[in-house]
Amino acid sequence: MADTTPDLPQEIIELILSKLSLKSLLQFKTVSKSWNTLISDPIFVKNHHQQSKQSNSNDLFLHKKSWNSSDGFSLVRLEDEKLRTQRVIAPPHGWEHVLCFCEGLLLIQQYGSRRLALWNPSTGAEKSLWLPYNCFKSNFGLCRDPITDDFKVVIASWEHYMVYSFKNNSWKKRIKYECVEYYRTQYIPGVCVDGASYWLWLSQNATIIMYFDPRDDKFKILQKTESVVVEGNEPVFVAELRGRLCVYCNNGRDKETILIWTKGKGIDNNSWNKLMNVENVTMPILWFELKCFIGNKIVIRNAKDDRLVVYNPYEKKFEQFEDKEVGIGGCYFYTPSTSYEKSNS
Amino acid sequence: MAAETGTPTTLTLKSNDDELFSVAESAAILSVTIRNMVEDGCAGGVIPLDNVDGKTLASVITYMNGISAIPADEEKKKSYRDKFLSDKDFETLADMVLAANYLNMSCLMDAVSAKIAQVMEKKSVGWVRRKFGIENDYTPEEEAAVKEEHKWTFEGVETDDDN
Repeated sequence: MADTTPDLPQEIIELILSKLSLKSLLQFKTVSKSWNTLISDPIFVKNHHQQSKQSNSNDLFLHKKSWNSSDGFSLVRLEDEKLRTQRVIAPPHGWEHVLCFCEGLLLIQQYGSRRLALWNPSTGAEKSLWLPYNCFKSNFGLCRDPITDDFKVVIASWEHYMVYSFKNNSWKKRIKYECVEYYRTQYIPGVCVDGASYWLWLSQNATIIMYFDPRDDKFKILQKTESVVVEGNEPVFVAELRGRLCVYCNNGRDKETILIWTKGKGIDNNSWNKLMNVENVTMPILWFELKCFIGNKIVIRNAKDDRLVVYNPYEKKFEQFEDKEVGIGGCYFYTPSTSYEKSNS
Repeated sequence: MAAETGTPTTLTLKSNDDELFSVAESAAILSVTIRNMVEDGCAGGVIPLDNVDGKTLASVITYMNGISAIPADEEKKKSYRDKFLSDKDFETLADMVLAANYLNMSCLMDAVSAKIAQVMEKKSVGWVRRKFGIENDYTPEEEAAVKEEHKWTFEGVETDDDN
């Protein structure tokens, strides 16, 4: 019956391939040269990554480690409440210290040294760079300029920040903040959404959200609209869900409820919508880390004991993960991508 | 549109193999192509759909009727789509994605292409070449090199001689 298959035009083939899992996608590079070219095309890679982030069943990347030994990195798939390991991956040079991640790439460091690498665990591609000096007590962010597709590393220190461009292979150092005097955040990696890197900034009166805009290499204050209502001085947190920036906080004094809003797609899009109220929360918001969706449920990491739980918004209750071994010491979740192929690095 | 007349308007669609189908206008306008014709007043007589055969059109109309009977509930619509596509084979899905493209029905197109992708998961490279009618233009050495680069992705894949 194979000869009855109609010829599908290129744009439909692209649409179909964009919905494949990463594993199948990489495998089907062997189909033909034109499929290989299409699958390696930067615009297609971006679309596929976006699709994977929004789709319900995800390939995800996870870093498991305990205090004295490491299980390395693994590509996992979340199905129901189970984590299925598809592949265990060794990081280049054995470097396991993850600074931050963005669009399927990890920025890793040889622990305590000035050597870093931008690494795509899905394809094995890596690119190394040197820090100009030791950057302890600094905030790392990884961005992708949506216009030039250039990956950039931004390091925020007390009075200055510096930016590394992978396209130019060079650092811009000692840049002054324009909108604030000092950097005041906890030492946490920036959350990468739409190519920009977002942080919470602790100012004297309130928490503000700052972002590094890779298009002009500037730090900017994210203006919140009226739709995000934070009562009193409740601490606010940021995360990424389905490719969107999320802000969440407790509902005033009600510590059993966490309110989540999402920002519209695009760096300059400042429309906010309520995503949901998470109810019956038993952990302090400080430990509550939003990770990703499985279907319509949200995966949350409890930072205290490093366990994953799933929140079911319909029944308003938390369910345990079957894999109890997950994340002893630390885990990262992100959507893998085929970007930064070996061939073009 | 003739919403104010009170009685539901019916359109007649004609496939490229000359089969005629009656369908409620409210369901048919899920197709942007048909909706434009209705809005331009070109839907008076028979609407010829030159790129869709009778078998595929019958299936698309079943979908139009089914999905438009569901109130605005994305969950229910999604489960209807899943069920509707669950027993379709690759050739039928390929015909359907082409019809959805021609009729400009983005929700059906999205659902069918996702279903095709789902069918392709775990299928061999040979299966994909046969079904998509693609000629292998790699030399054996080139193919082996590309395969070697992403060796792990070939684990758990069906063998090449199945259909």
